[in-house]
This record gives sequence, C-alpha cells and structure tokens, in this order.
Amino acid sequence: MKRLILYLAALTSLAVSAADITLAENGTAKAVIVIPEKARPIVQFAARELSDHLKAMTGAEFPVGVKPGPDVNIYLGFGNANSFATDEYVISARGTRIDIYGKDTEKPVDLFDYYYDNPDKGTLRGVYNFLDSLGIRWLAPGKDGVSIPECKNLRIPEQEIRFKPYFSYRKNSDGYDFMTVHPDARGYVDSVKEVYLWGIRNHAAVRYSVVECHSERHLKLFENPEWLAHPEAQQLMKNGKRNPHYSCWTDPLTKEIWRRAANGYFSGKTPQECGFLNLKGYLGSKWPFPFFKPDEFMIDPMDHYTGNDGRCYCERCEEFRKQHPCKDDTEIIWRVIADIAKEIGEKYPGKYISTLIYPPKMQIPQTVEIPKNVRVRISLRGPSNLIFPHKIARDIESLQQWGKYFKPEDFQVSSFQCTCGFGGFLPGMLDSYPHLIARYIQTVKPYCAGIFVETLNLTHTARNLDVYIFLRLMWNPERDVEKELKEYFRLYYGPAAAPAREMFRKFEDNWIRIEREILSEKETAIGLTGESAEYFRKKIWSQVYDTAEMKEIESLMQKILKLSPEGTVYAKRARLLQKYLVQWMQDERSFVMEKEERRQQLKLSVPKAAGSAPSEEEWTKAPEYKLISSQKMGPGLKAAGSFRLLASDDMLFIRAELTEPKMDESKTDPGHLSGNHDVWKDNCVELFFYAEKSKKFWQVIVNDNNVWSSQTRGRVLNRWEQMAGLQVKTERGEGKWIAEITIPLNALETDGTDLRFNFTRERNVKGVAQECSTWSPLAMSGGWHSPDNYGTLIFEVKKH
Amino acid sequence: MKRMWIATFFILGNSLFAEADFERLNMEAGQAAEAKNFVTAEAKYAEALASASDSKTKTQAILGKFKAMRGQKRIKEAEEFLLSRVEDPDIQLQDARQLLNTLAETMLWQKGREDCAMGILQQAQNCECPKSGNVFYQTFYIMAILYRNRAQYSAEIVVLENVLQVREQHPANLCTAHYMTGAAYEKLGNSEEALAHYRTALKFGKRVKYKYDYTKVEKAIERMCK
Repeated sequence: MKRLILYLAALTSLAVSAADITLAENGTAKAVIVIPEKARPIVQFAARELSDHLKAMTGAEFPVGVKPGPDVNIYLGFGNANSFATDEYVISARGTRIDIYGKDTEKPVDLFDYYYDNPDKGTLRGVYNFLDSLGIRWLAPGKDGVSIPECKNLRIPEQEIRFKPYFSYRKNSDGYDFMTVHPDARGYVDSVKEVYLWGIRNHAAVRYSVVECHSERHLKLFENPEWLAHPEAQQLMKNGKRNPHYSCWTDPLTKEIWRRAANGYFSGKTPQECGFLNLKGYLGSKWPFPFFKPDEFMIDPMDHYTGNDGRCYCERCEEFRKQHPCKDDTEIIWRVIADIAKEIGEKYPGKYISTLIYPPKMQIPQTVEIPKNVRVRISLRGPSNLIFPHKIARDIESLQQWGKYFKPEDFQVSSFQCTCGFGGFLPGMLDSYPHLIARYIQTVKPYCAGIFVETLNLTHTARNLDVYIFLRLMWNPERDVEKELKEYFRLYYGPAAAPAREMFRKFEDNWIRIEREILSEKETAIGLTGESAEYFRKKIWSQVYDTAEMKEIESLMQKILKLSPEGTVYAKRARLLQKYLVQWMQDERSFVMEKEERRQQLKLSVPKAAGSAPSEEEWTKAPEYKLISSQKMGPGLKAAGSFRLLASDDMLFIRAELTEPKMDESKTDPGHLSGNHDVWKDNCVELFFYAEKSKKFWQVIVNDNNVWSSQTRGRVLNRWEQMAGLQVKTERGEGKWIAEITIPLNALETDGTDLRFNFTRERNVKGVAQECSTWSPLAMSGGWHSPDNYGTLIFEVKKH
Repeated sequence: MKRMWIATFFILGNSLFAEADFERLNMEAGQAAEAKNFVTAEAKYAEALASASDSKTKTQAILGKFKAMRGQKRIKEAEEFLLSRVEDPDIQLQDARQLLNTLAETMLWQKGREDCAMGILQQAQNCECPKSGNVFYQTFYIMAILYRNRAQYSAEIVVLENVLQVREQHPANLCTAHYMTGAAYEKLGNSEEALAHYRTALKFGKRVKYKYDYTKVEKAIERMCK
C-alpha cells in the first residue's frame, strides 16, 4: 500500500512538472503581468483584477508592468483580436508565456458603462475565465461574496482556449436601483458599482439591442400638447372614455408621431425639433431612454394591466378587427411598426426598429410583412412554465414560429422570475428555482440569441442564488447545474453547506407546489394585487408554508447558524440569510396568518348531554368559559361572568352565570318584549354564531328579564328575525343573574364542524359605566360583529 | 346555428345600446343634480338604473338617485330606497359595501342616528372587498369616528387596527388611521403608543405623492415631545 502511495505521488509530481506552468511557489510570485506600453484602460483594469485575485489566492505580489520578467509572463491584451466577436477571448499558456486577449474598448474604466453598454471587454473576459479556472468564484455582490481558494503553490496546465459564449444576450435585472430596492443591499455592497462589477465578473451581457420595453411611455405623449389636442388619437376605453396614456393605433396621427420620432432620431434631430418638447436626453443621446442605441429605435405600446388591456375600442379599430380578424391587436399595431421600419430601412440602411412580442400583440401578423430591419424580444413567462408541459410547449411553438422571421441575433427572450416581488405580490416568499432555470436555458437554446430575466424579490438574499446560477449557465450552458449548486453551497456556506442546500431545495420544491396547486387556479403572468393577492397569500401560508414547514425552515436556519463559525464570512452570510430571508418569511407569515391562526386555536368544547335536557350534574361537569374585558387597554372586569355549553343531537344548550352585585340597578327596560330591537340597550348578553360553510350568521341578545331578540344576515344586511325554536330562561338571583338559552342546531345551518361562536356581555346598570366583556380575546369592543374574531365549537359527538 | 348567431348578435347589440343609454342618462342626471334640479336628477337616475347592466353602473345610479332624493329632503325614503337595493344579487359585495358606507356617512353627523350608522357599518364590514381599496378603509374610518364621538377610544383603536394591518392601503389613508389611533391612545393616556403612531402617520403622510397636509401630525408629535 505504502509503495502504491509513493508511486502515485511520484506520478502526480511528474505530471505537474511535465505540463504545468508555475505561477507561485511557497507564497512567492513566479510570474509577472505584462501589459502593452499604451495599454487601454480596460487592459490596465484587467491586469489589476488579475494581480489582486492572484495575490489573495497565493499571498504573493504579482507585479504589473510593460517589461517581461525572468520566469513566467502573463501577457494581457497583446494578441490580434480584430476579427473576434463580442465576448470572444483567447487564453494561450505554453512554457513560460501565457497570453490572454480579446477585443477591447478604448473607453476609460466606467463600471456603469462596462456593465450596461460597452461590449468590448475581451481581455477582461479572458482574465475572469482564467481566474475561474483557478477556482475563484464571485458568488454574491461585494467583497464578501468572492470565494478565493488559498494556494501558496500555484500551477496551471498548458492550454489553448479560444472561447465565444453560446448566448450573446445574457441579462438579468440587477442594476442602478439595487441599493434602493433591496433593504439588505448594504449587507452585500457599499455602492452600486460593486453590483456592476459582480455582473461583469459573472459575464452579464450588455443591453446591446431591444433595450427596455413599452417605449410609448418614454415618448410621454400624455404630456404632449399636440397629442392632447387630438383625443381621437388616444385609446377609447371600453367605458367610452379616452385615455391619453394609450394610443389608438389605427389613427393616422399615432402613426405620424412615431414616424416623425423614428425619422428624427436617425437623422440626428432633437426631440424638440420633432415636436416632443418635454423630452430630455439620456447618456449622450439627444433622446430619452430607451432611445439611445445609435442603430435602433423602439416602437412599442404602453404596458397593459388588469384594468386596461391596452386596446382601443373606437369604431375604426373595431372595423379593422372585423376586416382582419386576430386574437389581439397584432395586425393593427404591426401595420404601423412595419410601415415605419420599411421607411427607415430605405432611408437609413443598417438602422433597426425594435419592439416586443408582448400583449396586445402576441400573434404573428398575417396581413403585414415584417421587414428585415426589425429586432424583437419575445416576452414569455420563463422557467416556471416548465412546471406545466402545455405551457412550455406553447412557448416553444411561439419561439419556433417567431424565430423564422428574424436573424437569430435579432431575436431574444424576455422572461420573468418575479411573481413574489412584482408589486410586492407575495412578500416573504421566494420563487427560487435554479433547476428550472438550468432546464429553461437548455430548452430555449436552439431558438434565440439569449435571455433577459426580470428577477425581482423584496430582498437580494432571496434572489442571489438564482441570479448567480442564471449568469453561470448563460455564459456556458454546458455547465452542470448540480455541480454548480454543490459548489455554490460548499463555497458560500462552508461548513453549513448541507442544511443550506436542503433549505433552498425546499424553496424550489415549494415553489413548484405553489405554481401547481395554488397559482394555477388563475392564469397569471407575473403578479397580482388587491383581493387576489390577499387570497393567494393566505392560501400559500396555510397550505405550503404552514407552521410545520416553517418550523423545518427555522430548524435548518438554526443548523446553518450553529455550523457557521463566528467571525467568519460564513457566519456573516448565514446572518444575512436569517435576517433577510427566514426571519422575513416568518414576519410576513405572521402578518398574514397570525390572527387567523390564533382564531383557529380558540376552541370551545361542547360535551354531549345524555338526554334532551342537560342534568345538573352534566352542567357541573361541562367546561366553564370565562369572560374577559372587551375593552382594549381597559381596566379589569368589575363583574365577572362565565358560561358553559352542552349539546344534544338537535339542540345547543348555553348556561351563563353573570355576576351582578347591583342587580336592583339593572337598566333593563321592563317594557321590552321579546323581538324588541332595543334589547341590546338593556343589561344583556349577546351570542354570535357563524357557520363557515353555509355562511349563516345569527346574533341572539338576551336581557336579564327573560326577553330576547335575534337577527340574522342575508347576503349583505342583517334583519331582525326571531330564531324559530329558540328558548330562553333567565333568573335574577343574589349578586348574579343566570341565563339558560336553548338553540335548535338546524337553525344555525352548521354541519357540526364549522360553527364559529362568541359570547359577549353588555353590563348596563345604573351608576356604573357600561362594562363590556367577551369570551373570545379577538373580539374586543368594535370587533364583535366580525366572524373573523370568533372561536369554533367542537361538538363531542357530531350531530347526525 | 344561424338562429344562435342572430340571438347572440341581438343580445350583444342590446347590451351595447344599454351601455350607451346608461352613459347618456347618467350624464344628464349628473348635470341636473349639479343644477340642483333634484326631481329631474332622480328621474334620470332611475332611468339610468334601469339601463345599467353591471354592478358598478347600478351602484353609480343608486348612489345618484339616493343623493337626489336626499336633495329633496326625502331622507327616510332615500335610505329605504338604498337599503332596498343593497340585496340585489347583481350588486357585488364590494359595491354593496360602498352603498352602506355612503349611507352611514350621511348619518354620521345627524343627531341621534349614530347607533343606526354603526349598525349599518357593522354590516358593511362583513361585505368582502379588496383591502387595499378606499371602500374597505371608509367603513372603518367612519366607525372610528363614531367611536371617537362616543369617547370609546379603545374600540376606536380596535376598529382602526383593521386598516393599519393593510400595507397596500393608500398612504394618505394610513396616515389618517395612524393619526387617529395615536390620538385615541393619547386620550387613554398611553403617550408612548400615541407618539409611535403619530410618527408612523408622519412617515405615511410624507409618502403621499400629491400635495397632502400633515401639519396636524407634526403638531401632535411636537406636542408629545415637549
């Protein structure tokens, strides 16, 4: 065995010496970084990045200079890359010479520009891939997000690599607003520049074409006097009103305005010269965002939303639809886009019109020929559609069909990973699904130039993993997602990798459940608000992230914290995870569910009585439920009260004992008879019933003089109605009064499992301020009439 | 098949005509009401109600007619009319709630009608509606005023909690609700809670995008911090 080990060691050392290049030995640099004498700023920046990372890895200083050293020389930016494509680079390592180069910009270092717009970063790309091959990873934005293995002796194999990524377009939604939209931003970075750097290091592409969407908004027609003076060019909504924020795409003025804008843009005119008085330039362009790419002008309608489908319902549009039947407004809007694109193509060769394939123009136009100088981005739901075979099949069909009309480089996908974050639809939840992302990239790969993904969540911690995996796999789709995930958790959470990975696996599995079992109830693109949001939140928090699941997540979190040694970067990352994901989930969940969960804990046991009327012994044995003050922050009760419950097959029996030291001072009006609507003003008790399934509501008021009234609820309004079969017997005694109430169960319309109940008292005696009490602690004064505040009756034996 | 098409066309055509009728009648009624010609307004709103095809338009016409009747001092009749329409199955619950809110609001400052207003609102609160909307807020806002007028501050706090829990509520509504909660706590002698709510009110007040006066909130904070 010993011999075998010695043999293997010798073999390994031979392999190293024969083909490897030594960069550092025992913490001393054996290489220098050489840059051209008049190196471009981006090459100088690449040299600094290389030197800094190698130093962090080996502990050695790697000098950067223009003269080669005696050992290994790493030459940056020396090769001829004139014929290289964007993002293409070379790493050539032979003997003592390593070359890294690609096409480089002449522009100065500006991380905003490098991240968003400047595509020529070939040498820098090469450097980052070289570092990547040494095991360095940029797992999250900021200094603490970098993982650098320690290695005093650094050797690399000889290699010849010329690489160009499969996708030219690889973009996520991280950007300028990172610091303002993420409450945990400062947990990662000090400034947004570090976010740009993270994107550059992970090879996010620039926004090279079909920038943004809904460019109509940026033309600000709704502020344009010319536009406002012509309401007939504005959208006629279904309610008969004109909406200046949207256009009537059959109106000649709409086309004329876009034609003028596109022509003006490409001819170098200012917006003001074209009649757009209120527009300001963006990034050196005379025109506003997104009109700043020299070869492209976007014509795209305003976004639609639930309250406005973006379509005009004027007579002309309706007539057009009759003549050119189409599922949406594809034919109407493409007619404008295609005409203008044709004109632009003739007048300004090489210039493009861009637009989205997005509602209300999702169809392939049948009556319009799409000119060659049109670029598009097709909006699809994205990876989560993989959960539903019919949806992903529909998306692929769209890609195939649309793809026929464009050059691959002019056809991109826009996808959404923002169901939770968009409009704060599902706060505290996360749509994290790295496996789906990996599958989605493979699925769309044959059809397009790349993907833009709108990854929104309310904290960055909830999205970091997915953004990282997206960028890694978009740069090289051959990467194995399982290996990537394993590596991510190992490097990012260190000793706590296993529970962290398990936690995120849960998140992905849970999201798939949420999509399948809950959100599929309603076809939704990216987000919902209002009533639907409330409904879905409750459903998800109670069915998927229920208390048991939350306990498991909390338990995993505790394991992660325990395994992360204090003072290490792992502990810092674990705390971010706790504060901005797990704690945040818990807070949001309790915000939505706390009251309902508390209500569900409020249960009143109702023992079965042997006969048709309970015996005294049965009453004594029945649990006693005490009343508490229903005045929030009020003093304690001066007159206590309690009640007991029993039931037969048909009846519910309630016996209440109400302490009353001033019985003679009762304010009860002796003239009141049962059915009187003012009984509630007497010294009385009130019983509230609500059957969940039938939604039947009853309020029964009983005074201390054997008088009662009841009301029930229709669909909306309460109506006074004496409950058939209800019996009341009250008795005034020394220092107390007793009420016995018998309720026929069939009047309550319950199935025996869904009956909510509360018992309240209004103590009205002379010389004492009104004192209100309740059994349910949720039903404080002001909340007596809401069934959300009642407990549930648990009948010992179900009613037949 | 042909008959089915004719029938569909007939139904669609009729509903389009009805919509157009409603818009016209509703507009004419509004003009009459503005000119204080409540008799004409009532008649036009009644016609508009007859041609209204959905919950929203029906609600619009009911509210119009209710106000026109009140304009003629036929208060009781107006209230009965409104209540008689609330149970119409075509009226969605959220619109029913709006009707009840409006009714309660008109009773708010009528001496001796407070209990009635409270009863109406207790029913309104059980009509489901989007929590982010103004209709939801109005129910609890008017309830809170009623409790405040009765000096039942703890009940006022309980009622306002319904609004404070809804993050999607308009910041102006949240500002008011926090301010009222703060004032109720102040009345109950809990200055710590009062100040906390005043501060939150100010936070929401500053979030309102239009010109919004929150000087009373600032003054309350100043008073508490003295």
